[in-house]
Amino acid sequence: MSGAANPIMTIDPSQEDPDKLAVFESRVASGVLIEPGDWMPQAYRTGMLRMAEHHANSEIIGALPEGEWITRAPSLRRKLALTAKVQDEVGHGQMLYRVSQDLGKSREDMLRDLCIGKTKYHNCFNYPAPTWGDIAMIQWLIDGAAIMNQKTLADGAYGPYVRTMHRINMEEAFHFKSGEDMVLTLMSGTKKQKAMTQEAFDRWWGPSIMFFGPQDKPGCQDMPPMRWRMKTETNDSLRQRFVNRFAPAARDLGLVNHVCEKDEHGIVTGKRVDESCVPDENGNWGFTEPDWDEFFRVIRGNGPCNAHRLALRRFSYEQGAWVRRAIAGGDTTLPPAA
Amino acid sequence: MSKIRQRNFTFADELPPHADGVMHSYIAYTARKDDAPHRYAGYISAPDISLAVEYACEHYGQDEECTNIWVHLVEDLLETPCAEESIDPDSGADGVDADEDPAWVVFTQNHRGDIHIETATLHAPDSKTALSRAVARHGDSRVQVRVVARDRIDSTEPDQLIWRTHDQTYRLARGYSKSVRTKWAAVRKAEDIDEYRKDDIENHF
Repeated sequence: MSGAANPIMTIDPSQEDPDKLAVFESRVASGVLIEPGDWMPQAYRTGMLRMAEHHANSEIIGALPEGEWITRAPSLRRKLALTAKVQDEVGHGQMLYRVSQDLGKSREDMLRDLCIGKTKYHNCFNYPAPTWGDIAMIQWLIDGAAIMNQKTLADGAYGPYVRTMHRINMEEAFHFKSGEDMVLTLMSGTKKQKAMTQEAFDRWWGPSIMFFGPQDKPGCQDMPPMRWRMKTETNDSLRQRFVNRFAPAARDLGLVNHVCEKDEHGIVTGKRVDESCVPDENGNWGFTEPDWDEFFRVIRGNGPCNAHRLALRRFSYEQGAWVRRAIAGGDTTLPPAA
Repeated sequence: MSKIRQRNFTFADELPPHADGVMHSYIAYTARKDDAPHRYAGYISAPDISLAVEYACEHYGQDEECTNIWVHLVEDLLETPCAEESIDPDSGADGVDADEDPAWVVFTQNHRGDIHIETATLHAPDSKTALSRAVARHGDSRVQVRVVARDRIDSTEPDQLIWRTHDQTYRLARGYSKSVRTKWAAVRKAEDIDEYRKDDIENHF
């Protein structure tokens, strides 16, 4: 899954050598890409590590809700495509863990920290995918949002992350097109298919809007993440571009933007048409701000699927331990029956 | 939903023992055609180089069409520092290759952020000499030069099938482009579709 990296970061560069920091900032400002052997502020190293690790975690957790649908895909071609997509996402995780390793944290520590909830992954993977319509919507909206975000990350300053983004984006393009094709197919189908797609759209529009992270703080353009080109566009700017692209497309498809109320399982319990979802005189489409209390609640681990996603990841880690031992020529005793 | 996904999981009190040190880091390269240069694909973790080749085939060999894969341990490369704009070739020293000396593969990076691409093979008695010769011969207009002993690189077998030959358009964006365009055309104006497509990753369609 397209786990674009938007962890909430606070970076304090005040402990750095001011002369070296000035040279570093000058290089970044002039467009030089930073390679692993270059001097970099410790705060930059830490920030990039957290960003890449968060992104890697998101890729492998993001594969879980879609992986559950491989056996229930509606056709052989869709099944092949979904299998390939899940394989891609896990591969993205492996590449991003490598970027993180080079920044100073072992792969094993990252996998273990994820299992015990010490590190986070993208919020949007803590929502349920109860129908095939959700799979279509995840690939269209979430992967579409990820491409927007990751294209800007590919313009960042850290060379290894940029190289990885280029490779990942090539595959995200397939994920997005596949999702687009599914949504278009469903919305040209039966009344039941259209209703299923609308319900999935209602579930995923909010998480898609939240995808780009919390609202910008004043002065964020001058803060280290943007000054050091770890990010190259603000959350709100990306969010507006996303809405401008997808709101009119959804409308033309026959989908309606709703403001939704959801229960603790992420299922919509009430909704009204979002009257603000129209273009202004500048062509910017309006949208109702998502529930930011919900956003932070999910980050803290209290979303509809947080416990389930982490449990499955830990289950896989524990059950796979004997395989890791076996390939290393060690003890191959099987774990107790699950 | 499958039963495994519905169950309430129970866990051991602690995670399984730490497995660090079991896996080694390898760098994988792919060649898109026979006789084409090998291009950096990415890293792979594996317990030994044979498995690293197998893993690289599954991981990087299925991302794009390729006919050969190279893999070597990260520790087996020697490289120059990454230059700001270009290496000075005069910082290296050329010499005469002797066939009886080991072969070294030279990889170069044109700009910061670019991937490393196989550039040449040379013969030299040791890695330092090989790197120095590689810099003298190939450093111009490059930001970094790497050398790896040829006998430390493992590869797929000649004629080994890596990229599967059945129709794989289901896993490529271009496999959907025409169908998607046709379906959009049924519900949207051409200019709206063009506007919408501006955020596509055009290079890959």
